[in-house]
Amino acid sequence: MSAAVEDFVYDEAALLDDADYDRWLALWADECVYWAPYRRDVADPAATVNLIYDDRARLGDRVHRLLSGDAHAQDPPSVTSRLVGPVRPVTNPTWRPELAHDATFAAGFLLTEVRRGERRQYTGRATYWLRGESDGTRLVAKRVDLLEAVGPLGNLTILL
Amino acid sequence: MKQALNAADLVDLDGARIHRGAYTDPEIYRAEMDRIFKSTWVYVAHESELPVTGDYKTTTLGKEPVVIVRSQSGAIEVLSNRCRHRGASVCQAPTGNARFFRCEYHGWTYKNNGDLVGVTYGEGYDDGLDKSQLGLARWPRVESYRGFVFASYTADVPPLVEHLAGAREYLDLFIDQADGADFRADHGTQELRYAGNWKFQLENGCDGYHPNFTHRSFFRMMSGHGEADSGNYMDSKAPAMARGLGNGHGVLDQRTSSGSHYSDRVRLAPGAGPLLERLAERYTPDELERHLSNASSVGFNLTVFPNLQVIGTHLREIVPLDVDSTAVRYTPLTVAGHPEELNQLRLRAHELFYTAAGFGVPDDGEMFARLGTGMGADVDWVLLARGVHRQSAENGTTSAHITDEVPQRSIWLRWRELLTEPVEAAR
Repeated sequence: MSAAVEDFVYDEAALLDDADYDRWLALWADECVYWAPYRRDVADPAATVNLIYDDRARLGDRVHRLLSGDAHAQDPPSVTSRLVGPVRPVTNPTWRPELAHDATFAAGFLLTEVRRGERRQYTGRATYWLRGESDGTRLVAKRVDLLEAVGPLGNLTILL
Repeated sequence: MKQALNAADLVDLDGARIHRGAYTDPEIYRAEMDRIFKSTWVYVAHESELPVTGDYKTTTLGKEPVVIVRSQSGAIEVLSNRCRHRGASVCQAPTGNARFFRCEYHGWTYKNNGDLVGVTYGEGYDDGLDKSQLGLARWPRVESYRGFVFASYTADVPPLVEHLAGAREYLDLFIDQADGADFRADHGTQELRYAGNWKFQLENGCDGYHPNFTHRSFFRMMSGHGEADSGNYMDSKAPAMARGLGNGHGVLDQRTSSGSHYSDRVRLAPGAGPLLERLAERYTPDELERHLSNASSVGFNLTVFPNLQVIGTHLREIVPLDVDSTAVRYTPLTVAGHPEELNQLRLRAHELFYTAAGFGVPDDGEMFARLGTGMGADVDWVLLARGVHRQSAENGTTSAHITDEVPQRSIWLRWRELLTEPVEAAR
């Protein structure tokens, strides 16, 4: 596996922890899928209810809402820290986006959020579908499987 | 020593104000669990959650752990999830199918209608054990209204339809949007929790005053997508109603003001393009408009006191875990007779607003957290007087402008009745 892919995944996590959402959004391809299922065995996100199932337009809305100053659920804002485990190639994913991509990688993560003096942790595995474009690597799809997705959940307005 | 709070003193009907103790006092919460959640009809399930004999779900009603099960006879039973021997729960999974429930502590076995049929090492009891008296405790009243299942822990309550009062008309309207087909709760139940009183959610789900403020970011976003006058259908000039429907029920009825807002939202859903093309081949433009609009909301938000709200395309069950801890269970619905494309768009519309990561519900949750902070102040009264001067009453319902606090007053009127009537009358 190339060091470039590892760096991409770690850099992506760092942009979220730094709340650098515009640069994070710029990592994404023009057509993309940002998906957090409720269960791991979902075969087709379109055919069920999801925690998050965004295309590029909705992902943009999500980011712009956070930046708007009107998203009360992020006032005060959360701070986050992500520990991203080893980045490994995925050869036979149970789901893949119907979008051109060059490579699929996954990593476990431990995400700690602090807001209003309370700490909350999310644990899971993120899968990344990547494509090389002329000006750099783009995120075509990101699937985030949270252990906590079975619920109960509370305010999950941070980006995953 | 501080005087115990008297429920009658917490609801000032003339001043249309509520004492904060009604939201924060642990004794009041205990009284609510007894006087409300064990004394009147509570929503327990949609029939489509239990389509097959033996299907069950476990939940809590008030503080009571229960199994709701379609027994071998086909009837839906609400059983206490508690072995009659030493008190362990007999059913562990959130949903499933079973002919028997077995307590794994000492092996006692019950049929799925609650009858005790197996006591291990029975010779240890001589003749002293009457199995017929030791079935799982059964809620004596279970009735369904067109697929909506309610139960009462107290036997002596009026028939369900009488309890539903004016809410029945709106349940009918909701159900009839499916054109004679059945709603299906076929995408599970997703639970959110917040640290705050259960009535924060109850009042919020029928509050037409808050959307343009609490959900400002959502309406601004929709404006950015060309949704004309986004949010106007709930502003101070909107030609729409808030209504109290009797017995604590209420509704925000914005059918007269919502225009194309709801269908516009559905058209923006991720992946909508090809679905809309296929639907356009099947329906006339008018039919399509109606279906897309209903896929987001049928145009009213219904509250059935004390624990059900029908909002958007989902059923919302409020579970009061403690005085300051609440679970809210969201069950999105699809329609059995509708094309898959339409049902997918329903799910997209639900995800837009109503998940822990959605564009709406987390902002409500934030307001509940702020209520928790604010109500810590030594200031006694919460005001629910909006629209008192312009409400009108007819046939047991009270109506005023959509931003008026009519449904909240309906809730508290019923709350006060239930918490203050003599126990003999309540039981």
